[in-house]
Amino acid sequence: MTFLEKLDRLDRRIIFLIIGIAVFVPLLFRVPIKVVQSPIVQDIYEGIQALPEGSTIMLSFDYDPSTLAELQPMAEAVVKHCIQKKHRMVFMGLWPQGPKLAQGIMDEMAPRYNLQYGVDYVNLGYKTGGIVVISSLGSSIADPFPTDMNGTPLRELPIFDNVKTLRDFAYVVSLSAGDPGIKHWVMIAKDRFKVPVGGGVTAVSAPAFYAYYNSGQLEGLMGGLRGAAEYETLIDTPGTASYGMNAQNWAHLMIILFIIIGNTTMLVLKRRKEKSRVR
Amino acid sequence: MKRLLFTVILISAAFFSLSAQESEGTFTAEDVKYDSGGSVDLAWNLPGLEESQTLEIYRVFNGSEGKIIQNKDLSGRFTDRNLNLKGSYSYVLRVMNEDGTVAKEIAAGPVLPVASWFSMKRAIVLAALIIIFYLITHYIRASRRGIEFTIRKIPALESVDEAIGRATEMGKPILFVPGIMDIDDVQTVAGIIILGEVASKTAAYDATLNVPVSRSMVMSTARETVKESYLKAGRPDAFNENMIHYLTDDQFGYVSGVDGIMAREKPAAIFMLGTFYAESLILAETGNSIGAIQIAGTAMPSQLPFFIAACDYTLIGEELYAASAYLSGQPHMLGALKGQDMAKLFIMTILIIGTVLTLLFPPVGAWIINVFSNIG
Amino acid sequence: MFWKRQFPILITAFVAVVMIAAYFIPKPGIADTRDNLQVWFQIVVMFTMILGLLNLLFVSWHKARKGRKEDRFYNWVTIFSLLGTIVAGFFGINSPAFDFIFNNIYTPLSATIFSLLAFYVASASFRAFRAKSIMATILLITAFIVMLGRVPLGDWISGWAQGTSLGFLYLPNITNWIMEVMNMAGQRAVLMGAALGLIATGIKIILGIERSYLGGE
Repeated sequence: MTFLEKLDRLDRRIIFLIIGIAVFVPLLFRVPIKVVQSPIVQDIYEGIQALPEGSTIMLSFDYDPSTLAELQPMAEAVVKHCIQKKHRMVFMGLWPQGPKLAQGIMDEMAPRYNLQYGVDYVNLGYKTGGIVVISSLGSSIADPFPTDMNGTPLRELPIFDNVKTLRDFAYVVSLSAGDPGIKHWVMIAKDRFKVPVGGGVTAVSAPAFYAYYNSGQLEGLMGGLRGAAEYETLIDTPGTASYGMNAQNWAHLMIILFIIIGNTTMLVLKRRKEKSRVR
Repeated sequence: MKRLLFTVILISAAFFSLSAQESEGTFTAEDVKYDSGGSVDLAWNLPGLEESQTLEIYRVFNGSEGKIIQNKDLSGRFTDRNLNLKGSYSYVLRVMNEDGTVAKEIAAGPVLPVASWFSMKRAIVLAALIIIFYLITHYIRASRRGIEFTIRKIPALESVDEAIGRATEMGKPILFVPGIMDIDDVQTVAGIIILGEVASKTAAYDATLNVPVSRSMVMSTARETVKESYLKAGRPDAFNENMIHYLTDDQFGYVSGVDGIMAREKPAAIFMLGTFYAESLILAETGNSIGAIQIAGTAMPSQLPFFIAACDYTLIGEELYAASAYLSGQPHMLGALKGQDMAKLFIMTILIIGTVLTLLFPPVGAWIINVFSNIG
Repeated sequence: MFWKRQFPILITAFVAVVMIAAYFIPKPGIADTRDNLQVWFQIVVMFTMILGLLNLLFVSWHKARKGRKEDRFYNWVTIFSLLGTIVAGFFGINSPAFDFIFNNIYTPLSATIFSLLAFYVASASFRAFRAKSIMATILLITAFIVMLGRVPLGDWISGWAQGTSLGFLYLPNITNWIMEVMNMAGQRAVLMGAALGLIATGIKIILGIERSYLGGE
């Protein structure tokens, strides 16, 4: 087999190795990169920014640790934004591991920014049922969540003094890795109860939600690490995503190079074959 | 003279009275239409409010009143919800002075919040559903009357026999992955239907079938389907219920398990038919790396590109749902497929008409958009 | 035979009628029935998880003892992981043991498997993005533009065009247009077709025409 033929059928393990190096090395240097914002991410930022200070926001953590790398940075960015605007946050999850991931963020943020549990934020925990849970929230938050994650009745939490139903929330942010997720929040919270919904999804799922954004059902959307980096740039607080953009830069460049190599070898080999046939 | 003076005074009083009513403002309360009852729409419009004054709205029921709104908005709308007590509700708008006295009071109601029997906002959805239902049942009836319908070649389904034959010749197992969602997902049902057909062929060819599933109910359903296929093929002895086995509900745990099966058992043919999310490429690439022939199908638009890039054949969107008709060839199934196609033609026609109307007559277009936006 | 064939079809038809009716009839009674049916489904699913659990244990146990020698170790890992997590769970989901399993085993493992996508995208792109035809070439060029437009590299390459009359050459703008117009059109078309297929399959299941999921004809 000639070198070109070997290159045309490059062993995937070599591809994996090069991609691994391209991603790992930039992460060692931790250089944050500011990215240009797209309108779709800007809209969610402006939606939260425009709310009066002290508004109550619902943050639904509808993902599990497998998509932590993409969704946790955007969760942290949105939480930081809410803290900057002194909004009150109510966390919950339609996926079992979601609330624990939210707890992980607040375990770090609460002491740093002197946030008081029950006043500035609350974690309601997980409830099975997906769309049924969201519908119940429309009648009363206490219906699906009589207590918070720690067993405290909602009436004992000051954050719920004026917040009784889903309609009393100023905004819903759903960080979603699949089903149930942002689609159900749009169907119920936005379409039925007219509460603005924005969110974040993995990069792979983002294209499917552009239709919802275009129709106005979704206020804004962060897609993958890029979306998280854009949000971090908007709130002027570089985080995991901004550092990760460097690695993504190199990974995309390597993939483009591989595609160029693959097509070049294919064309050269094709020409050689045609020439040898002519002879 | 006295009569004239009296008449002038009367007319003047009436005039000033009317002016006073106009300058009082408006306050209305109406039952919310097309809801499940228990909601009343309030709307108010006041001519003016002094800086020290506030507006308060009270809900009155059975003689007792409770404040529901307090603000300084000259005009506004509010929907009073969760009115679960049976009876009529009245509302009182009061403009309060700083010292607590009432400057103005307007009453609205009584209103009886009732649940509607039918949500007119969704009438258009019902109409579309009836039309689609009629088209499908019409062509099913036509097929039962003997009218034959043809279906175009779907390469992915044509290659099912080839894939199973290849696996049988190589003496390697066939792997069938019915997606990661539960039996309430129609894509999973479509996948299980195809599994039935695949199982008939594996029974006939005496090939090994392996069906790892992600949900327990899918396991039960798939077992029944495969068992029936083996019975119909006359090979009940070849059926082993552990062909269909549960791995885990966890998405990436399931993917790891299936990848492990691929790496260890090296199936010659892999079918991935159902609902998939991010794990689609991991499964497809692993299958590609072991040299298996792969037939995939999903209606998830975001996962189709990965299957198309990594698999030999892909069923795109509705081709997955057409598979049962295609593989069985039963006339009434083909009739239903024809009805589905006619429904698609109907929707395409509506889309084109709507687009043209919106471009040529914007107010009509805005009305159409409004109708669909209010479905809610 | 009635209990295996006609009875399940009757249940399916009844539930379908209630679910569809609840969409059009806002009366609380019907909405409550719909919600109850959804909750009952969840309850049934929870109980069937026990079936799956027992099946996993049985199959793993059988393979651990009598399966291929080189595979037995993995089945023992499955059994001990499953039982260990169940025992840890009995101490509470916030207990140190369960927290340890969640934070130090489950979370890194899940994230690792998902991260395999990065490698597989590269190998799939190398293999699949070949300019073998005009459509394949268009796909290739589009992929280049989107990949560059989604990273700062695209901004560095085409930043000069931003804000000028040649702004249409700014890669992130082109990427956004591709995603919001072309991609969305394709996604909508597939979604609509799939939705119709879903309705047709649903009608066939409700009317009892499609019965394979019950166990064949």
